[in-house]
Amino acid sequence: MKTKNLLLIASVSIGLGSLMTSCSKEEGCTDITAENYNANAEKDDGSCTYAVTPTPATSNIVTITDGGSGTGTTTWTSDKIYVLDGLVFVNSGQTLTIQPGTVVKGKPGTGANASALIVAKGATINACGTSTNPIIFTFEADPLDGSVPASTKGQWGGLIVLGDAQLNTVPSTQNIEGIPTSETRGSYGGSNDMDNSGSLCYISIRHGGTDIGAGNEINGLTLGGVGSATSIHHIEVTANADDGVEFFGGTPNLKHILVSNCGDDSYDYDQGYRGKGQFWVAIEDANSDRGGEHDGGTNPEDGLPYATPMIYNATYIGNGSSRAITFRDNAGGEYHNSVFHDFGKGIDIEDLASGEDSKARLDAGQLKLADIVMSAIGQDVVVDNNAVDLSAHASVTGLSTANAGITATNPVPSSSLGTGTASGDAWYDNATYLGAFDVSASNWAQGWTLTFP
Amino acid sequence: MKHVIFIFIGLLIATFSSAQGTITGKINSNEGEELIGATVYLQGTTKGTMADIDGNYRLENVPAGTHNLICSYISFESDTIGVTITNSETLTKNFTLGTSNMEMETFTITSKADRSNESYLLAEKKNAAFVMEAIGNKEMAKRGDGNAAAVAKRVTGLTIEGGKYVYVRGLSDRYSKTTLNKAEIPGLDPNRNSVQLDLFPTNMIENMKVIKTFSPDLPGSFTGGLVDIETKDFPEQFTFQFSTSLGYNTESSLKDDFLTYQGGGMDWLGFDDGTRELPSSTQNIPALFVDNERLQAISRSFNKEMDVSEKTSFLNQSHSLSVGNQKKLFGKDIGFITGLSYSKKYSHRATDAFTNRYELTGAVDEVDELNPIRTLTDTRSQENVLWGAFANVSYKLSPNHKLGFNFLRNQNGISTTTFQEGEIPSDQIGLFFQTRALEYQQNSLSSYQSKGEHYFENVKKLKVDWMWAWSQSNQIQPDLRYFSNDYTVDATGQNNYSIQAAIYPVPTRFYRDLDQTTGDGKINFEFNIAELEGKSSKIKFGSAFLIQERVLTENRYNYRSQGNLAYTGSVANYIGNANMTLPTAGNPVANYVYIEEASERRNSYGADQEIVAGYVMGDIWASQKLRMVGGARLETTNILVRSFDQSQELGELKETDILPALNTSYAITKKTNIRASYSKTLARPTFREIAPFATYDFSTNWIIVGNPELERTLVDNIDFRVENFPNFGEIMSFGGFYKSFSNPIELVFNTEAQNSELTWRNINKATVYGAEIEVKKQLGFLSDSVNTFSFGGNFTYVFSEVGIDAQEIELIKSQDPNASETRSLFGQSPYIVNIFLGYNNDSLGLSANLSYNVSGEKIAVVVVGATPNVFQQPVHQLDFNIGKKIGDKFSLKFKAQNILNPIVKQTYNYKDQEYIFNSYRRGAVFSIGLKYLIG
Repeated sequence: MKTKNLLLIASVSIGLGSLMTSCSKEEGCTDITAENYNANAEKDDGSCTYAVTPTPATSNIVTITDGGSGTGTTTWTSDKIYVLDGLVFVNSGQTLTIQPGTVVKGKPGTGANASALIVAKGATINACGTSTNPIIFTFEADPLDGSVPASTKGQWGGLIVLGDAQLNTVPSTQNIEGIPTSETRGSYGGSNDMDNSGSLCYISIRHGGTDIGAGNEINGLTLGGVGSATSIHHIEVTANADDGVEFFGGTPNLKHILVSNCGDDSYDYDQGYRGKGQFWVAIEDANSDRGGEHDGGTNPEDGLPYATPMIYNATYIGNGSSRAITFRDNAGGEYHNSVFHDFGKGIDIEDLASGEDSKARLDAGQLKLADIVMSAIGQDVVVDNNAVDLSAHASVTGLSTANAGITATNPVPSSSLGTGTASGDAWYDNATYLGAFDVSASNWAQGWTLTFP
Repeated sequence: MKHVIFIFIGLLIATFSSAQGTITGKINSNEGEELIGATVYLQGTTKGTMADIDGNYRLENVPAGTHNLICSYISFESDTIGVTITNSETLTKNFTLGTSNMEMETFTITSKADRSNESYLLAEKKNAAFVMEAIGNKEMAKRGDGNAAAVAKRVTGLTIEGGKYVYVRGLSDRYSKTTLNKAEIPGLDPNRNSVQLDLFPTNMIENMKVIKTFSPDLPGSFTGGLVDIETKDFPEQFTFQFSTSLGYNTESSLKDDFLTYQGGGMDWLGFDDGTRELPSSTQNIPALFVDNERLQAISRSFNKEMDVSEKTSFLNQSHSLSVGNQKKLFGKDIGFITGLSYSKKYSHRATDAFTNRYELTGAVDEVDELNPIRTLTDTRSQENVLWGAFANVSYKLSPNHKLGFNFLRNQNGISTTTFQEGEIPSDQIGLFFQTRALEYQQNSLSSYQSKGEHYFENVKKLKVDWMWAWSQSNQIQPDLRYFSNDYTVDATGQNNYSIQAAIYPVPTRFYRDLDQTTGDGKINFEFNIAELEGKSSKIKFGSAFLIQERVLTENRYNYRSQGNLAYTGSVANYIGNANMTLPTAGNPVANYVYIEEASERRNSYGADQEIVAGYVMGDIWASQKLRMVGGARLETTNILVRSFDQSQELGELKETDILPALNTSYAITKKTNIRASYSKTLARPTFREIAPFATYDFSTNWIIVGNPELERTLVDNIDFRVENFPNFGEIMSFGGFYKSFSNPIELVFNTEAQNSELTWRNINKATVYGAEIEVKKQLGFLSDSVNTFSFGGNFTYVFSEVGIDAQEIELIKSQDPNASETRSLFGQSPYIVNIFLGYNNDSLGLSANLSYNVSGEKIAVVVVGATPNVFQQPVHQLDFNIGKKIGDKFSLKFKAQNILNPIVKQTYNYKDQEYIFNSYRRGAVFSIGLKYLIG
C-alpha cells in the first residue's frame, strides 16, 4: 500500500491495529491550516494543533452530557449558559425546570454526534419564559449578538418531547427518528391521550435541525405522542434545517406558534395527530418546502385512529414557489379561519389509484377546509395530487382567493380578510377573524422572537 | 487414499506432434481386481495417465514410434510392455500386475495426480468419506468461466449471490465457508464473514471442491458447504503458458455513452494512486462560525469531481501467464509454479435498467395495486480490473517428507459510475430526481502459506501434515461520492433545479477502509490401526487455531449550504470555490456551501476472533464395503468487538461447542456407493452482528444495530446419497438432505424505528430440506460415431422455512391478516439447474461445450410490513464455447456467454402483477482467445 490513510493512525492509537508496518517517511503535521504545519512532513502523525477560536472566557458555561442518567430533576438558571453535548435526556420521572431568560446551546455535530434535548416519556419539562425574557435554544458558536445571519440552519439538533398518548402505528410504541431503538429513552406513544409532559412557553428555538442519522434532520420542536395536558404556547422555531414543528401522533394542543425560515415543512404531522391548534404562523424562506405536510400513517399507512387535528386561525406565508399544504397517507384534519398566502401551489390532497388515501378522508368529512383565504396562489388552489380541482368539494367551504395583502415581514393584515365561525370549544380563543392575527391588535410574536425582534 | 495420490505419475497436458496415436487398456491385479489409479507412462518421458475406477486407462497423443510402456501400482510389481504405434492408430494393451513383496517401496511423494482432471476428481469424490462435489481447471476451461464465482455456480446445489457470494443448497453465505488451500482467508465485506469468490481468476485454480457434510477434521462453522479453492500445483516438467483473450459485450463494449469520472493514474492496475485520498487538512474540521477561514480552506481542498461524464468503452480483455518446472536443489526435487493474470472488464447497464420502489398503502383486501415511491432509470457503468499473482514451491526433503510454500496476491479495483433519474411521486407528482454516485472499491488479498507432509512408516504408518497460513485483506472505498438534486419542469419546458436536504441526503463524500488479517494453523496426525484386505482403518486427530483481526474505519463529509444558494444544474459550479466563500468578519456572505464533518466515531471499530479446536476421529473399514468415519470436534470461540467510540458497549461472544459427526458409506457394488451421515455444525454471528452499537450505512440508508444477546446457531444435518459411477468419467447420483436450525440468525426490521433500522435476532427455528441429482454421461451408448459427445447436469430442489420475527408479523398482519408467519430463507432458490452438452474430438483437437444454468426465484430484499418481499427472478444463462488446437503449441477458443441476454430483475409481485424493483441486462459476451503452451 502506498500510504495508509489517516484513519489507520487512529486505529493504531487505540491499540487495535497492528497494521502500521512502514513509518519511514518523515512524520509531522501535514495540515496547511494548522499552526504547526510542517512542509517537510509526508505523513501526518496527528500532532496538528489549531488556533482555538476564543470563546467568551466566562465561567457561566455549564456543559451538559447525558451518560445515561439524564439531566436529573434540576433547574437551569438564567445566569448560566447550558451547552448540550450530544443527546441529553430528561429521564422518566425527572423534572427539568428552565428559568425565563436562560440560554441553552447545542454543540455542533451530525448523526451520532448531534446535540439535542429530549424529554422522555414520563419526564416533565417546565420551560416557560416570558414575553420580555424568553428562553433561547441555539448553537454553541452563536454569540447572540446578531452577527450570525438569521437564516443560518442546521447547526445543532432541536427540542424533542415524547409522551404516552396514542399513535396509529403498529406496534403502538415507536422510537423517535434518528435515535436507534437500543436507546430505550427514545420510545414514545401509548394509550394516555391526557398525558402531561409539562409546559413550554415563550421559547425561541434557532438554527437547529442537524442531520441525526439516516439522512434525517431533527425538527425544531418534535412532539412524539405528547398528550393534551401538556401546555404549549408562544413557541418560535426559526431557521431549522428540517421541519419547524413535527407531530408524531398524540393529542398536544398548541397556540401562538411561529415557524419561520425552515428548510423543510413548517408544520408536519404523522402517525395520527389529533390535537388542537390555533394561531399558527408559518413564514417561509427560499429553502422552505410546504407550509404543512400532513401524513396519516406510515407503518401501516392506513393505521387507526386517523389524523384529525383541528386548526383554527393559521397564517402560512410561502416563498412564491412552494406548496401550501399536502395531505396524504390517509391524513385527515381541519383548517378553519385560515390564510395561505404567496405559495406557488395551493393545497393538494392525495388520491391514489391504489385507494386508501387522504381523498377518502375528504369524502368522509374527516378532512375539512372552512373559511379559508387562498391568497396569491400560483396554481392548483385545492386539488388532488393529479391536479384535479377539489375546490367545490362538499368538505371545502368558505373558500376565497382574495389577496390578503400580507408579507413575511408584516403578516398582520391591514384590513379584515373576512369572518369565519369560531370553534365553540373552550380551549380555543373566541376569534372569528381569518388568519393568526387580528387586524386591530399588534403582532403577538413581536419582541420575544428572532423573526420579529 | 492419499497414498494413492502420491504415487500417481503426472498426467500432463501433452505436447502434440504431427504423428501420434492412442493406447488404451485395462489394468487388473492377478486376482482379477481392477486397479483403480494404477499409472501407465512412457518410459523416459513424463507422458502418462492413470486407470479410472474400472481399471481402464487411455493414453492419448502418443508420438508414433516404439516405446516402453510402464505400468505400476502401490503394493504391486511394475510391468513393462514394448509397443510400436503408428499415426492415428489406437492400440489396446492390458496389464495384469502381481503383488509386490516390497510393500511400501513405491510410496514416494515424487509424483502426483493431475488434480484438475475431471476423472481424478470423480475418483476422489467416489473415495471421499463425505458428500463432496468438485470441479477442476479443465472443466472450468471447457465452460469458459473466468473466475471462481462463475465456476461455483456449475456445482450441484450452488448459487452465487451478487456475483460474489456462494450459497450452498439455498443456505446463505452465513452457512458456507470458503478456504484457500484449506486455509481460512478473510473476507472483504464488513457485514459478512464470507469470501468474495470473484477475486480468484481461474488461471490460478487447480480445482474447486465443495464439501457438503461436516467431518471432525474440518472447521465446524459450515452447514451448507465448505468451498475449498486449491491453487495450481507444480508440473512434472517445464511448462510455459500464455493466454490472451478479447471479448465484446453487447451491452457494454464500445459504447460511447459509457459513464465515467476522472480517476487516478493507477486505476488500470486496480489501485488508487492517491487521487481519491482524503485531503490532509481534514482533522478537526471546525463547525460553522468557529473558524470560517479554516473551514473555507478545508471545504475547497476536496477534489471537484462529483459529476458523471461519458466516454467510449473498450473491449474486455484478459491475459495470463504461468511458468512451472521441477528441478533438483541440493540433490532433492523442488517444484514450482508461478503465474500472473490480468483482466479488465467493462459493464454498462442502460437497457431496461430501472430502480424503483413501491409500497402497499392500505389493507390487502382493499388495495389492488402497489403505489410507486420512486421510479428511476438506473444507468451504471463499471470498469473492473483484476490481477493476481501466485507462486507455489514444493521441496522434497526425502521421499517421505515434503515442504510447500504458497503465495498469492490478488488486487481488484472496481470503478463504478451511476446516474439515476426519474420521478419521486411519493413526495410530489412532477418532481424529478437525479442522483450520481462515483465509487471506487479497491480490494486486495495476500496470502502466505507454509505446509508440510511427513510420513513415518515405522511408527504405525503415521502421517503428519501441518499448515500455517497468514492472510491479509484490505477493502478501501476512497471518496465515494453522492450528489443528488431534483427539478421540476415549468410551463416553458425549463428545468428548475434545487437541492432539498429534507427529502434526500445533501452531497456527500464517504471514505471507508477495512483491514483484516487471519492466521490459520492446523496440524493433523493419522495412523493405521488395522488392515483389512488392503483397506486401512485409521485414527486421526489434530488441532487447529484461528485468529482474525479486523479494523474498520469510516469517515463522511457533507456539503451543507446556507442561505439561498442556487443549484442551476451544474455540479461543478455548485461545489466550485466561488460558492465556498464563507462569511468572515467584514465579509457577510449569505449564500454559500461548505464541508460539514459527518464522521461518526461509533461506525469505526476493531474486532478480534480466536477459535481453538481439537478433534479425534476414526476412519474405520468395518468390512470391505462398509466404511465409517466419525468422531467429534471441540471448538472454543472468543470474539470481541470494540467501537472507536469508547462509550459504546463491547460486543463479546464466548462459546465452547462439541460437534459430533458420523459419515458412513457402503459400497453396494464396485460402482455404487450409498452414503448416510449425521453431523452437528454451527454458525457464528459476524463481528458486526454482535457489536451492540448502532451504525449508519450510507449506501443503504439503514441504521444497523448489533445485538449482543445473539447466540450462535446450532444445526443438525442429515444427508443421504446414492452414487453410481458407471464408466470412466461418468456419474449418476441422487441424494437428499435435511437440516434443522436452532436459533438461526436473521436480519429483522425494527418496527418501532422511524427509519429503516435493522438488527439481527435469533429466530426460534428454521428447517431446510431438499434433494439433489447429478448425471454425467458419455454418449457412447448411442453409437460409436458420437462417442465424442458427453452430457450431464445437476438438479437441486430445496425447501426452506423460517419463522418471521414476532414484531414484524404484527405489522404485516395489520394490513394482511392472513399473511403467513413463515417465509423461505433469504436467498434460497427452490431449484437450481445446470445442464451441459460437450463435444470432444482429440484427433481434430476440437472441443465444444454448451451449458445452461438457472436458479429459481429467491428472496432478494425483505421489505418491512405487508408490502411484498422482493424476489430475484430466474436468469436463464446459456453459454457456448468452442476450442481448436493449432499445431503443437497454440490453441484458439471462441466463447459466447449469456447468449440469451435476459433481463435480470428483482420484482415485487402483488395480486398477480409484477412491479420492478431493479432490472438490467448483463449483455451477451463474445470473445476470442489464444493460448500458447509449452510442456
